[in-house]
Parts: sequence; C-alpha cells; structure tokens
Amino acid sequence: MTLPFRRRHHDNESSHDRARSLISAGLDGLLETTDQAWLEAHLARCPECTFDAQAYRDDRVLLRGLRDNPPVAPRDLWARTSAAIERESQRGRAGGSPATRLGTLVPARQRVPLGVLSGGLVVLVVAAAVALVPGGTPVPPAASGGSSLTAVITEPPGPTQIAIPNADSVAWIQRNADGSYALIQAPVSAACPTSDPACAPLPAGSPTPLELGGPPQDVVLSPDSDQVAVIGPGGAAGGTVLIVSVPSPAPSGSAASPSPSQPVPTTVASRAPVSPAPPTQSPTSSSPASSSEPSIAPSVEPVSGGHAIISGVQVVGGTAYSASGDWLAFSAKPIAGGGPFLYAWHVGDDQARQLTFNGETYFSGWFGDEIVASEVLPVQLDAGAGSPAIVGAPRSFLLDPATGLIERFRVDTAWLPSIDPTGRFVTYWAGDLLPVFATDEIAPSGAPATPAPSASEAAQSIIGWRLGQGTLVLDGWSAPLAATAASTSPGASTTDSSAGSSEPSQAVATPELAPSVPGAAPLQPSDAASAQPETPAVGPAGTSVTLATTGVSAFDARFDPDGTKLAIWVADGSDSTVGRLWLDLLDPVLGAIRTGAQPLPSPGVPALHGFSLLSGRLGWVTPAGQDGQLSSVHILAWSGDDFGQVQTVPGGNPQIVR
Amino acid sequence: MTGAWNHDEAGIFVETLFAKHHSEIYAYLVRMVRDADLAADLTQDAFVKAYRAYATLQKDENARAWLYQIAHRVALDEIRHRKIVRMVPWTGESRGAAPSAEHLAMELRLSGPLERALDRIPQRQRDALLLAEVHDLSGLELAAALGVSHVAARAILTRARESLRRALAAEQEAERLAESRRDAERAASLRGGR
Repeated sequence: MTLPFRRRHHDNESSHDRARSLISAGLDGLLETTDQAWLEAHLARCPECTFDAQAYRDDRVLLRGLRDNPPVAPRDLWARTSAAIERESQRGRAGGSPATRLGTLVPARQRVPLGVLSGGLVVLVVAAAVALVPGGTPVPPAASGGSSLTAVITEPPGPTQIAIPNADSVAWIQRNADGSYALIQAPVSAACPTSDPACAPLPAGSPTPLELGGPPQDVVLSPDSDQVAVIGPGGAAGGTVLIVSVPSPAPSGSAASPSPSQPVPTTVASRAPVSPAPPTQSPTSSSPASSSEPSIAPSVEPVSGGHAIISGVQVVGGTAYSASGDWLAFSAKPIAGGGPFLYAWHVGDDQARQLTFNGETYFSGWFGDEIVASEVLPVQLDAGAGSPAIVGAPRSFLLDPATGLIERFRVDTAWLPSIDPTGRFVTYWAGDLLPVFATDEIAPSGAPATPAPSASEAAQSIIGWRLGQGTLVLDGWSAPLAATAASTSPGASTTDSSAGSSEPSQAVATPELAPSVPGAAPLQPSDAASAQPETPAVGPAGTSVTLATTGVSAFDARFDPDGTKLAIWVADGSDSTVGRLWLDLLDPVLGAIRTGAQPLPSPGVPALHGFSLLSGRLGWVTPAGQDGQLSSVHILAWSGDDFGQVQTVPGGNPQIVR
Repeated sequence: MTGAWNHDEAGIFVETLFAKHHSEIYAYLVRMVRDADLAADLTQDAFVKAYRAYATLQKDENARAWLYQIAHRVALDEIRHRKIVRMVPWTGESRGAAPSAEHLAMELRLSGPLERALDRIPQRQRDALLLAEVHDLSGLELAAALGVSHVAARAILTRARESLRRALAAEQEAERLAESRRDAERAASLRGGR
C-alpha cells in the first residue's frame, strides 16, 4: 500500500511491501532463489510479515473452500445459449463476418455429444446467405491474409435507409499492421435506422499516413478540416503538440483500388517545422498473418510535415480549436514543474503562447472565441478529530486569448463547464474536488476527503484533482453569445480569488495572465484586487438538472454546433478511459431535455474516452472486448428527428479525432 | 475456408467450449454478480460473444483464458450498467437511484466473514482472487482474463491478498465483538430470570 502519510514504527516500509509481494509470488510458485533467500531473512526478523504470510496461506485455504460447493448452472442454459447463437448465426450470415480469424486455422474438432447447434447451422448456411441479405448478395468476408480493413471499408454503401445530407465527416487515427498510423476521414451520408448487422460498414476516404512514435494522447481536427493537432503523450522529456496539415478528404470509395505506390508519410515526431519525411515501409507490405492488426491502403498524396507549437509539456485534459478555427487552446504542465497553465496558439503563429503563470488552470472548451477554463482553490477543512483535510473548490471563467480579459462565472462551484455554442445551455460538474497526491492510489469517487498532516505539506504534494462530492448538471446559460461578447471590457476582469469559497485557509492566486497583445500589461493579482468589484454577468442561470451523480469519476460533456444535442460521457469508476456515452436532445424553446425515445439506449453505450460531436453526427470508439470484438468507430448520425448508426469493421485500435 | 470466419467452425468450437467450461464460467459470474438468474443470462451472453469473437482467438490453448476475459467483460459491463444514474426530465427528479430488489436479494445472500470481506475489497482485486484461487487460473491466464500485463496481474493479486487479509481481520473482529455482545445479553437475561 502506498497511502500518503502512512508511517510504521520501525524499519523501512518498502521492505515490508517487498516482503508481501514476494510472499504473494511465493504462493503462486513464482519466487526466484535470490528473492526466496531475501524473504526468508526478512521473515526471520519481522514477526508482522511472518504473521501476514501465515494469514495469506490461511486466506487461500478459505478461498479454495469455495470450490467445494460451486453454483450449479440451470439445466436449460445450453438450450438458451444455442438458440441465441443460432439467432446470431443467422444475423452473421446475412451481414458477413466481422473479422478474419488470425493465425492458423483451428484443427478439426471432435464433436461433443450436445449436438443441438451445428446441425441447424448447416441448414442455415445456404438459406440465410441467400434469403436474408438484401439483394441476395452476401457481403463477402474480409480478404484472407491481406488487408482486411481496406477490403471492408471500401465496400460500396450497402442497404442504408436514412439519408444524412448535412453531417460533418468523421475522422480517426488507425494503427496499421506494421505499427504505422494513418488518419482516415470518412463522409457520413447514410446510416441504418437501427444497429442492423446487414448494414454496410462506414465507407472511408483515403488514409493519410502519419508517422507517430506511439499512440497519441489526443488528436483534434480543425473546423476547416485542413489540419490536425496531435497531442503526444508526455514522458520524462515531456510531450509535444504538433500541427499537421492534412489534405481534403477524398470522396467515398476512393480507396477501393489501393495504389501500389509507396506512401509519403507525414512526420509529426519532429519538434520543429520539417519537410516531408522519406518513405517508410508500405503498411501493406507487412505480413498480416503475423499480426493481429489490419492494414490500410496508403494514400499516395504527399502531405506537409508536422510543426511543433510547444514541447516539453504534459498536456492535461482536452484540446480544442475555437469555432472560427483561428485558435487552438489547451492546458499543460511544463516538465520544469508547476501548472497546469493555459496555452493558446493562434493559427499561423510559430509557437503557442502561455496565458496563465500561477495557480492551476484547466482548459475546458470554447465559447465563440473565448476560452472556457477552470481553476482550483485548495481549501483546508476541519474534518473532525483534529484531522485536517483538503478539498478543491473549483471556479470557472471565460478568457479572451486576444485581449487577455477574463470574466468569472457568477457561481463558484462550476468545474469544467461546457457552454452551448448558441448560448442557451451550460453543463458542468457542480461540487468539490479531492486532491491526488504524488503517492496516492486513486480511491473511488465519493470517498471522504483525504486526511493530511498539514496544509502546507499536503498542498506541496498535490499533483492533481479528481471529482469529489457533486453532480454533473445541465443548466441554463445566463448570457447569450452576443451579450457576452459585448460585456467583455477591461473593467470587468476578475473578482477576489477567495470570494465565494468556503473559508479557504490557502487559496491560490487568480491566474496571472501574460500580455497577449503588444502593449497590453499582464493582469496581476494586485490588479485584480484594485479592479472595480462587479458582479459577474455570465454563468449558469441556477436552474440546473442533474445528468449524472454517484459513481462519476470523470466526465466529458459537449454540445453540437446548433445547441440541440448534448453528448455526455461518464467514466467507469475503475477505469478513467472507458465509460458510457449517451446523447440527450435539447429543446431550445422550452429550455429542457426532450423526453421520449432516446437515440442511444439508456444508460448509454460503452465508449472510450474522447468522442466527437459535430453537425449531424456523434462519433466514438467502442472498447475492445465489447461483444467480444476489437475496438471500432461507431457513428450515430441524424437528419431532423431521424437517427441511424453506422460503424467500421472492428480492429486497428482506432482513436477518434475530435 | 482458410483464413475466413467460418460460422460452422465457430459454432462447433463454441459448443465444445461450452461443454468444457460453462460450469466454471457460470460459477465465476455468480460470484461476480451474486445473482444466479443474472449470471445465467450473462453466461449465455458470454458464449454468444465468444461465438462472434471467434475470429479474434489466436491460439486454441488460450481459449479458457479468452473465455474468462469475455465473461469478465460481460459482467463488468453489467456492473457498470447499474452504476449510472441518469435524469432526463427537466424537473430535477432522479430515476434509478433506489436499490433494486435484485440488489437487496444480492445483499441478503452474503453470508460469512469471507464473503463479506470479499465484498469489501475493490472489484478488480476480488476478481483477481476469484480467478486465481477459486478458478485456478495461472499467472498468464489471469493476466489475459483481466486484460492486463503479467506483471500488473501479479501486482493486483498481491494487493488483493493484502486487502483480503485486512478485510477478513476486520470481519473477524466484528464477529468477535458481536459474539461478546450476545454473550453479555445472554448473561444479563439469565441474571434477570433469577
């Protein structure tokens, strides 16, 4: 255990941890000789660990006792299961196989005397293939031993039934069989009314090769679809944010005939403007049989190189372009320490500019051309029994990156708000935050505030924040876009940093802003104190409705461009990368969530973190293992009140481009 | 049909898997979700998903761990499904927040310090213990079933053993105190009856 501030009365704690680890490994027969000798020596002088070792052995006996009376499966379980598999088989034969069996074929097996399934299967093969596939032509399985993804995604659209005339295209990063990456953009023009397995997979345009050292942390497409921002994972040397120009998406089906030409990959690993990198091995030249990843037909169109707008940082949270496409903003921690701070990059500039210089500021999104961000105020509370505790009080604000002016929210408990682009709704976490210490193990959401020996010691070891008590809410927005823009003035900048917080004993200063335009002075905390006190004009209207409550460890909630759809992703409590995604329909006239049938089944569909919500469609990636499948890109598309779904063939570790 | 997904082959394969492993998969799911009817449904789902995912199994010798992995994901999905509480109307009312009858029944089935202790430790650790000690998965099989590396699986198992030790100690202490209280009440009752 590595709980913070834990103390033992003697000896080095790490030696006890090691002993417990070795005791456990010894139970599994995994102990090496040197470890065995060390453990024996340790146990000889440590009665506590000797006691633990005996307890582990006793507990194992208890656990193995559960084997003696196993639950007995119902008698009809096979009948039910085989019937379900038969139904699945019929659907599968109509829709084609989802994937190619990788590696060697299964040898012929001895039939077991259950005999319910296979006889029926043989009969169904012909009937289903001919009768159930529209047009009488079954979708062929992926090409064996070759480029399975290419073979399927370039199929012409199948029996789609809903025309989607005005949806934005969807883009994702796909990993090829040889470990290289490609950016794929796909127009969304039609979708199936339900998750019809007979529906053709999403047709894709030409892949654009990307040369990445590993899976990116995040990828964001500009509104004009002419460039992507690739956020690299921050390691010991820090990560980079690279801007990569991309060609216009090719029309649907253009990849149907993979070109034999070598691709010219985009180099995005460089930290400076670079010329296109030399060709690398063609993705299709690898042996599919030796890999579980599908291949993608390469694009023959060269693309410009990547340009690092910042390096040596760990990007924290999301990254997004402004609606106009003029700005890109994010928050990041420099490897030198401190932060996270806000950064913005004006398209065309050489480097991103740091906007805040103290405290902790977290980028949340855009409202027009203003950044929406949050900061945290560590608050020391008396948790009783003389044991102090620290919680984080969130505050949010709008920041104009062009002028450096900020407007604070009228409420003090909003964390990571997302404002409807039309200025009618806002969604945010209403509650407090709990500190994450350098030595902390993430505890379940809703756990009591972490005790700390002293405020100063605790504050120094805080490395981040997680959701505490609170709810994810939808609220009205008090100032429409036009009014907000008009109210932005040099006099209405900040309020007292401690105002509204619950008696903080240690409050961070208001974010110190950098001069963002020539001649403008940075806004210092002292400036804020001397500014005319003014009630913030913007913020939630105070008519909130709860969207999600207990069990929320992380969330992402965003609106579509016309403010009539709200996509909400909530993480699973034990894994912040996997969660559930649903879409609420908003009635802008009534200011309410529309009731009735939901476009995605309640309580949401399994989705990896990072969805993409634009006009006419919502895109996400399913976690591997859902329905026993590899990950795939799923699209919910709509035209008016008609909704449909379409998806790619599973495989390739796709990562949605937001 | 070399290299292609073969419905017949998948059906026969899953039928074989069912014959060999359905009892242990069902038992594992009962222990995970603590509801016999739900576990039966999830077992069915797991084998249907195994049929669908037949193409992703790379080596037949990994089939058992692969099946546990599918069953594990199916159960986790169900558990996640129960956690989410949503509110649709604009009225502020919640839905689904009250414990279900199924949940209450599950609670009632808990008996004995071991099961209560298992219930107190984190889900992932509990799953690791059940898979390793009750279902006898090897280290590599455990890693595959949990979808983590071998090293991570070992670390989870170590933490799980320590968590269980502490939880059992707490349960046993609680039982001891309860027994003492009952003894005291009996003694008081006897004294009152004289």
